[in-house]
Amino acid sequence: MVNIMKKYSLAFVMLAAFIIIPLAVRTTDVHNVIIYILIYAMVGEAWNLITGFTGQTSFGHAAYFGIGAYTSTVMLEYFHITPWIGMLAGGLISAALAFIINFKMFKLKGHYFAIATLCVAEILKTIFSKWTWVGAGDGIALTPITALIPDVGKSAVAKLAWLSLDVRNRLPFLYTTLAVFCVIFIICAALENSRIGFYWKAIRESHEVAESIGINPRNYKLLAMCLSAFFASVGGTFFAQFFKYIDAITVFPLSVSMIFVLVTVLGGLGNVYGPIIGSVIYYSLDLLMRRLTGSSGTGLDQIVFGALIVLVTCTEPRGIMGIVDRIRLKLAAGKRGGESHE
Amino acid sequence: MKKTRRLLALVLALAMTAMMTACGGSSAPAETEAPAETEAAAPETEAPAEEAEAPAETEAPAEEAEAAEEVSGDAIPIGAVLPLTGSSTGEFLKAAMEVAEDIVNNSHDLDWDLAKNEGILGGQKIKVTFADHQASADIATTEAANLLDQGVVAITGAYNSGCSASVATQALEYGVPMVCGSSSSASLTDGTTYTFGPIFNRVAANDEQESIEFFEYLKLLNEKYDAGIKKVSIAWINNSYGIHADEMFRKYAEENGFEVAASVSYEATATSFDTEAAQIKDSGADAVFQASYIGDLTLFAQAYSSLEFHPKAIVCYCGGFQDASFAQVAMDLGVNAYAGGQACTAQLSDKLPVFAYVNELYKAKTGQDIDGPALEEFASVIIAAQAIDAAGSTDPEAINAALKAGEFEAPYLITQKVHFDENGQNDIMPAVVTQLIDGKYEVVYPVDEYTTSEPVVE
Repeated sequence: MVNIMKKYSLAFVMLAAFIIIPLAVRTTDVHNVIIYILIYAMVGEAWNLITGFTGQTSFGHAAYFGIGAYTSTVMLEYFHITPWIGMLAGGLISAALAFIINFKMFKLKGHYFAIATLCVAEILKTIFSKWTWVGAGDGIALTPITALIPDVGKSAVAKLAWLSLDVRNRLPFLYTTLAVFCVIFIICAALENSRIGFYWKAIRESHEVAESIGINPRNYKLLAMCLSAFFASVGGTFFAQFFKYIDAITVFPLSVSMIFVLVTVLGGLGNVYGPIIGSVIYYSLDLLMRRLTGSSGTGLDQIVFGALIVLVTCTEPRGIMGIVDRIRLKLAAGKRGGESHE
Repeated sequence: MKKTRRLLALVLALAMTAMMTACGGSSAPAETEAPAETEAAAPETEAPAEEAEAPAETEAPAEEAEAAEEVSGDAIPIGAVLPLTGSSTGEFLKAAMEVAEDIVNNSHDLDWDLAKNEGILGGQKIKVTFADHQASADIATTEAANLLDQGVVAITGAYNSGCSASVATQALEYGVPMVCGSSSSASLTDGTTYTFGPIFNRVAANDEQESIEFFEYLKLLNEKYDAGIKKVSIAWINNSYGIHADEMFRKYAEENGFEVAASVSYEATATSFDTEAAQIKDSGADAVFQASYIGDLTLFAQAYSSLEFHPKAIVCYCGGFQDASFAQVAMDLGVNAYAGGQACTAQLSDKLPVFAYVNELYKAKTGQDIDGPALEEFASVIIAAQAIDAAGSTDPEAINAALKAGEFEAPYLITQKVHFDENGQNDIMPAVVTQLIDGKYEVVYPVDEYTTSEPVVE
């Protein structure tokens, strides 16, 4: 237990911060940003599984994010089914789609695979923007479940806001999002240190070497992609519930996929802390810059963030966590040097 | 390591591209993205340079930042969420709102009590605090929440329909009324798509109101000017605005006995409309309807000209037609067929002295005449102030009740007044049909004392 506490001390510190800050700073502005941080970190963790651990670059994770958003929304709006079930259904559909698409697509290497994933998201964007049953270009606006099903409002279940994922009760929604993020984080951390995680990393470093020791790269990559798609889809459900309105242009575009990429690359590719660290920096900086520049419309937030990305990736390709590791190693080396001098 | 660096280089390049794209907005991007792509739209991109000089003299960015941070002490706080990054449009809308703030707060020599008096509620000033949603609906959510946390008693904006929906959704949570100026999507006030109807109020005409007026205008062209318009086609952008425009177009074309020859949709991200323009031409339409923003409308106009397609009328649902830069585009192409709805036009300055006065104040800030969306955003601040005054209080609930119950004096509009129905739509038809004749927005319908010109049938 002490070892786990020590190993994941950063995770516990961050968890404490995520619990305390929303209670200490009771503004909707800050709560909103924390919710965004958690949602994008969730999908960042998903993206990290396939790109960071397995080495398959995907630029199309918005596809699974969008399916999660649409599935839960359609089930809630049209069939009055709780978003919790919608979330699982969306996850399963995304995982199935990921399996079908990537079964063949994993034959593509490097940049060709990345471009193919991008195309999948673009195809889905076009389909959903034309599909009238899901609102086509008009999208779907979410009705709160308590308004959608009158009887639910009177039930004891509805009084527990987190069960209905009702965003109007913002703090319960925030903590529910945090809880789900924690589950995803724990699964990803467990996978990173499991046999499967080592196989993924072996595949990332060299297909040939992995095959030579009896690992089937395609099967393990498919497993990573299906899990990744499932988690990305869960993020999509939370996004839809939070945002209360979705259309194809909001959930499927390249710019959305790029947010997942950016937060992970900034925080640290192939590191389970990367997405959450990157997401915290991305959204905190975004908020800070917007508040500092007010309504000047200079786009300073985007310029500063772009410059930060360039700086981090040029100096340390492993992102912020790479810098942290480097500092930690230097400190440890200094300590050892000090001890030997004594 | 080399492989990782190559991957990161690719990621970085794509990320930067996506971020640049995101600057232009996502939910309703066309207003912001397209102008830079077209030569014809160049005047619009030049305008802010002129404009930048005027606002800079009075308000430096640092001061603006402070203003955004805290709503000043005694002044009544009103929030405004606009697309201030990524296009010049937001800066023009902001200038119009600042003119409205000036009209409310200072005494002006006009035959209008609100302008004559200093402030409202017996002399209290208003303070409009601006926030930038960058044409992104999720940023609109956080910006609106920030303003609402600061205690604004009413909120205005947000130009892009998707962003207006985000702002209104937040406002509903706080029970703060929203006065939306220029967003045109019919879904905002259809009473079924969204739940924020109880706090939402929109000044601009919606697609249904415009459709009714447009087909009346076509009938006038047929009856009085022997235009012979029988077949009509539409080109519409595939988003909330375009979908509803198409729906209303079909409904009223049928009701008024016109044959729908073609309905052509296109994506907001498209950069060429030659195929769509050819489809419209091939449909044999006598008149064409457009639900397009400034960039796509400009490209369509160029495509029609290059195809030598000259319909008798090209009728536009708000959007790009109302952008002052489109007047130059139509004039350069030598086409007088473009018509569309406007809340008012500079040609009416002689007949509407309050409008003329407002236009002069706006022109001093921006260097150009006030256009439809800017006038509607101006109206949104004025109406919020009038509602606060009518409520006799800064309690958002009382202000909302005043908005829903009252009729508001609007001497800067042809209609002279504004009234919101139960879903928040201004039900006193807030637009007239204007036609771009030699680069000027002339009022051609309805035919009354505000008509400034006979229509030109191409």
